[in-house]
Amino acid sequence: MKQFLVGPLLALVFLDSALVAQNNILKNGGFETGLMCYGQYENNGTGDYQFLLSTDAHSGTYSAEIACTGTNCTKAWLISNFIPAPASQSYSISLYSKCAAGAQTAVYIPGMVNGDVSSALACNGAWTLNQVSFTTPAAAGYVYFYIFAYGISTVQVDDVVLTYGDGTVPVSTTLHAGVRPVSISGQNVIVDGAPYLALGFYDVGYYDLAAVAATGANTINGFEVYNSSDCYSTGQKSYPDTAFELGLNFLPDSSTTARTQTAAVFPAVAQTFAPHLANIGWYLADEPDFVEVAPDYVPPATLLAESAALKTQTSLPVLAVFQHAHYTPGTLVPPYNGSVDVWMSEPYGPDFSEINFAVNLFNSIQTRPIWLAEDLLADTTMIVPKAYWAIIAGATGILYYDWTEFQASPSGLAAAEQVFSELKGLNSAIFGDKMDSLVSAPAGIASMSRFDPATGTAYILSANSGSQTVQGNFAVNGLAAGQQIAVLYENRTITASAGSFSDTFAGVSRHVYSIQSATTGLTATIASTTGATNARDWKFQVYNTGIGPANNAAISGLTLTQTGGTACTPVIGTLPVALGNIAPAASLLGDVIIDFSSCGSTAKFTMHLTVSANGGASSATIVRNNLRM
Amino acid sequence: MKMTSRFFWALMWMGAGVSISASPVLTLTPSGDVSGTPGSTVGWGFTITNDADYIEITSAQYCVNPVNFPVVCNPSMLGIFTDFISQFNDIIVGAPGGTDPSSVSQSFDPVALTGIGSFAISALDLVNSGDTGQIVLTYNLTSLDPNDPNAVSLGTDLVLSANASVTAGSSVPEPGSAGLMATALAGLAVGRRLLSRSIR
Repeated sequence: MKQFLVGPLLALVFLDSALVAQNNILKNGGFETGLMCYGQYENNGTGDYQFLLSTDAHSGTYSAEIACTGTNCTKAWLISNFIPAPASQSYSISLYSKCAAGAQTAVYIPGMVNGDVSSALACNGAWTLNQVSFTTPAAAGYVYFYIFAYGISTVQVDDVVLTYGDGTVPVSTTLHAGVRPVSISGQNVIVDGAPYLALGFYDVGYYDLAAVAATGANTINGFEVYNSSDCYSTGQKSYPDTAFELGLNFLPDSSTTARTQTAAVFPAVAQTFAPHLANIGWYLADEPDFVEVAPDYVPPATLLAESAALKTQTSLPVLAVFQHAHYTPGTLVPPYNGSVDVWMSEPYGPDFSEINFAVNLFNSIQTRPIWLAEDLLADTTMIVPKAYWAIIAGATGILYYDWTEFQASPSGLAAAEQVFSELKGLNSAIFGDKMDSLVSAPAGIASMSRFDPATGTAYILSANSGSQTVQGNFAVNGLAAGQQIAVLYENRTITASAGSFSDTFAGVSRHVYSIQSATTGLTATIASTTGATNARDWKFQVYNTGIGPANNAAISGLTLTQTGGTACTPVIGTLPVALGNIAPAASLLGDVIIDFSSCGSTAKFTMHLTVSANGGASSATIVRNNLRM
Repeated sequence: MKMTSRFFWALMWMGAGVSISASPVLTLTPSGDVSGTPGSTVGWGFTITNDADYIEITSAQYCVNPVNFPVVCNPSMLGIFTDFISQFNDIIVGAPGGTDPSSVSQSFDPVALTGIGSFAISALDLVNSGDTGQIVLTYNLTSLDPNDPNAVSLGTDLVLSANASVTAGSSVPEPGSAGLMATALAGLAVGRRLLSRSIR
């Protein structure tokens, strides 16, 4: 609730509130949208500090509070996101502080024209205004500020106002406001009507957006220090507008707000930051299950409440990375089910099996889309195979943590670019028709097999996670001897044997096989026999058993030869029965109506069923004996 | 509209929420692993036991690994399999205490055409080649003996399988030639002993 003063101060307070609302570079200076646009850190990552929202506010409903809840409290700080700033620009920052007399707190602005700027904040038990001026260096860059708390104390801050030195604020206009069509379908995130393969980085600064777009990335996660959402009015094109125009989709981050465990603030958070066409999801929290790090931990019930509150104001899918998802025992994650629409895990490092652990754990809890955070591996040659391993395991998103680290590693960045280029090129294969039941990979090799109906091409993505060389056969149902198999990205082909082909994996590596114009096979089973004797419905399930398309499939013939019982003459209904196109490993149902009214119960038959496709180029005859009506 | 008895009973079964419960077991006899020389014919006998309802075998195939019937069932390249169990027989296995035996066995007999089926090993096969896979049977499931006018269909083209293999083994020497070879080896041994004594 807004705190009103009385008497002569009333007019001043109203004026101050107007400044906060309208004359501020910061869009969350008053913490009415939680700790959006701020990071939080303490000691060396451990300690007894908590970052909270206090209802003891200078104005509005909330102030930010850094509280020491134990004895392990050296220092903790909030850090603003990085604000794009012109060269040699003067700024003024003002904020209210409240802390007990004797407590120590400070505001700190590094890297200004005369060096770092630091100023102690007033601690006298009452809300007190503090003000600091500074000027940026001779080159454009970022302005960001820290609010420190030292020792065993509690510090509250509110109404942080950042302006140019003359008190003005550059005006920014949002160019691409709106709501992006994003939904969940099974284990896919659907963006703009199509399954989405998320590829990109965490934590990208404003000035690096173009460089990130140039890598081929399509997704940015706002978690960490640079830019958690549309946080500033700088006069430049906004962060989300810039990202959107570069083809980068964005996940606003509310990790620090989630950690305040204040569900009631989330409707305002969503109203303020969710509506933008760049946004395709909402990163609710990073490692909420990290119970070992108290300030990062968000209890399951709290995260569920925060997610529910967020969703009252946005339809964006909610995501969170779960720290304990990729290693045993995994029991900390299930209670969070329902808080996210997209599972995320961070199986960092060279052990690919942790990916499978996370995927299996998530799928055992509830099947949802799975995205992964991945790191800059020490051996960067493993980055590409690991990405394939993740996709094969079932992930549909890979976000590298973080952009700054990859940018500083030429080989790592090149590997990420290769991942983006290859996987985006395989998008229609990754989201194609599953045909895994038709392909068996050599022992130790992970693989996924898909069919792209648009091109009639079968793809096999495969990866070896071990350092040993693996040579073996891929058993491919229906593969014709002599069929040419293109090994994508390696400029080579393999000639198939009947039903298989062989290849070698030299240590940790990936191969992508493309098989075009493959012939296919058909088979059928009797799914059911139902209905009255004079109109018995024999329902057949017709399968495409090869890796090529079965177009215009049909039940083209059916004969019944009596082998027992009193002689009779069943009358078979209209043939052929058109079925449509059947993808590899898929099936369609078709009905044949048969009049058995002349037959007794002991009559039995041998059936010859003929199914065909591709204008008769593919056909099969299925035989069953001892069939009754 | 007059309802046929089969249709009536089908509705009764569905209304009672009856699900397919039979769990028949196929055992290949004397073994799932058969071997023979190139050009020979081998095969499998069987025992099928059932615990509920009535099954009637409708087809048999030998599929080499990997098997994922019906989508993946590739024939062996070593020779030709012929279905005996459904093509030349009508095997019905009932529930214990029912109108049909709950266990049925047949040995493989290529003349009487009994057993699961035969496998004619190609004469061109290299010796010591072979493959592994499964004998896959399809069967229909009914509530009573399928000849009973009140029998209700409970399932069609259900699958019953067992691991199997075929090995094209090396030719065993004929008894006559084997005896000659043994005599020759014995003679050679005696000769060596005599030679050894004379050198001393």
